[in-house]
Amino acid sequence: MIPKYILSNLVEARINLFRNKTRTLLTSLGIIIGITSVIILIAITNGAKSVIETQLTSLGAKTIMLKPFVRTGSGFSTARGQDFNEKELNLIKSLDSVSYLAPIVKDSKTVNYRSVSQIVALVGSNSDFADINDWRNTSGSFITPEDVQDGSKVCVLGATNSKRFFGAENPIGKRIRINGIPHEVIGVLEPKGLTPGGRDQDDFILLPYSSLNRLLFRPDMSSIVTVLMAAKSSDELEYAKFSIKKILRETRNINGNNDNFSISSYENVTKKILNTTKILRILLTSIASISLIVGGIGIMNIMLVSVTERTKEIGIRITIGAKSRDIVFQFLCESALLSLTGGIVGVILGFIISQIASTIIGWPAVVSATSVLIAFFFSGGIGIFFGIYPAFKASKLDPIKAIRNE
Amino acid sequence: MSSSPSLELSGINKIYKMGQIDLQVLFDVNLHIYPGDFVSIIGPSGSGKTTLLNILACLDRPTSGVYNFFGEDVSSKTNDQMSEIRNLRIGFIFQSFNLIPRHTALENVIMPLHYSDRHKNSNFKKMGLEALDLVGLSDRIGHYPNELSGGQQQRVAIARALVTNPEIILADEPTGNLDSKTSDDIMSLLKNLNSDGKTVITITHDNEIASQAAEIIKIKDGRVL
Repeated sequence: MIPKYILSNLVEARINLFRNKTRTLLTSLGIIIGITSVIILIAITNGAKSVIETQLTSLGAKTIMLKPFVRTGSGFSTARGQDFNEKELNLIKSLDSVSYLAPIVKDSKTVNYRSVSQIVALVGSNSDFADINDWRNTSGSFITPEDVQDGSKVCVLGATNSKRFFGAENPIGKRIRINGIPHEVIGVLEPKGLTPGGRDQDDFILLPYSSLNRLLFRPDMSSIVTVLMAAKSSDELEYAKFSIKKILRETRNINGNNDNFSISSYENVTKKILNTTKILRILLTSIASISLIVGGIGIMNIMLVSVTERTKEIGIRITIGAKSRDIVFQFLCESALLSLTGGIVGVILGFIISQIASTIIGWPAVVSATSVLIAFFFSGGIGIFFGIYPAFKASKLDPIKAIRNE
Repeated sequence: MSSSPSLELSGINKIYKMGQIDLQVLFDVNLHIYPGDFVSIIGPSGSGKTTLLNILACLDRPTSGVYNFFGEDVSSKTNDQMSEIRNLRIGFIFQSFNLIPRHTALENVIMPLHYSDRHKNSNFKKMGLEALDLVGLSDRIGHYPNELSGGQQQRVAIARALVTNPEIILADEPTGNLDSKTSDDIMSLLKNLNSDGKTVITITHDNEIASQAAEIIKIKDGRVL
């Protein structure tokens, strides 16, 4: 139970605040607006964070990229390191934490079908490529391990190239000439559209990497620009990267920091993006907090007015035995209650508005229990902090002079 | 009288500093007030009687001299200790009643109890009702000051003065704002309190009111005559 002393002071504070409803409302408006905006901003940035997180996961948060390049000191430029060999790739493939492995070979060559002729990006890979990058066929089939083994003259078209060369015609089973050599189209990929940077992700033709190398008279391993891998799960990503690094260092006898390969994943990007949203949230919340300080100053102002108006009352109270702490406590109760009421209204408004905003912008607004608790403590704290000066001013009044004040 | 004085002023001087000028309002005041006394301090305005009352009331401190309150030197007390003395041992009655307007009669009466550690666990309402009963206002407990007549407001103030059961009642022009009929009622109430054992000190400029006290102390130009 609340002690009688505190209770009577709260009742007293409530009476005083109710006596002047308009003034109380206007004074707490600063706090209401401040808390409302803090709640909304936290809710919306929390929602944005969860949306970004799921999107990043679907964008391949499990993907690991291994390149035969060395990062130079500054990390900005790269130099060709050591090519991978089949033994290394088999060792990596056999790791428990790695589920898929696809070597990537790239080039651009002229492709023609009937009258259409165009230089097209060629990607050589294997059957795991589809699983790592989440490619699905709209029609036909995908590259098989046998195609890679045999170096078969088959290809899978990105949606853009299916449209470019065949239009409405069904390309499956047709032969197109890549660098003059006929290849059979065995499948067409589902379109992925443009990247945020505006690059068409569907403008390529996929071949078994062995076939592409044979076409260009290149040795298999030295032409690999990237080995794409997928970790079993995003939790195992770090462990997979560590294991891959360990295998390569052991087979290549590398000690220390002179790796002649580089390994990376989107996880860093994920972290960076999430970090950016965090910074954004802190920034926005700080801006909103400024209105809380302005609100606090409003409370201090009105409490000073209140002390002046109630000088006589304070004089009476001190005369009949109020100690300075009694007067301080009375006024602090009043400013804290004023601010806290504003805080409660702000939380409710913030909750309602963020739910409405969430349906408009189309991502969830998450009003967390923590943000509500922080809002309560913050608004109460502001009331007390900005109430201290007026309260002490009241307690220092000379009762003889104060009681004569009319 | 055989008992030792409740309030004892010896050689009290009070000087106000008004910028460069020192204004002395009390000159070597010596005063003894015994338990159960009914004293009127009378003097024209500007005579220093309010200053004397403030010192007696533990609201102000003398510039020099010793004020013993029930044998204890008040000059060594802190402000909070002075507040405690006023709270528990002195009941205040003012010319303008000094009730707090947005509180009911009962709430005004029990206000001193909120400031008392001694009464932390007391039943405030019961004590307040008893005090209001003493002044004959049991039927007005829920009324606000502006709903009461002047005489009723002064009775509420007297109930507030009595609620902590103090030894001393200090009344500053208690009848100054009242008509003569009501004044008589209030004065007889004070006399009753005195005969019940309270020490009553009134301050007035009205000879007729003063004459109702057992002892009259005249003050003029800051000196007790």
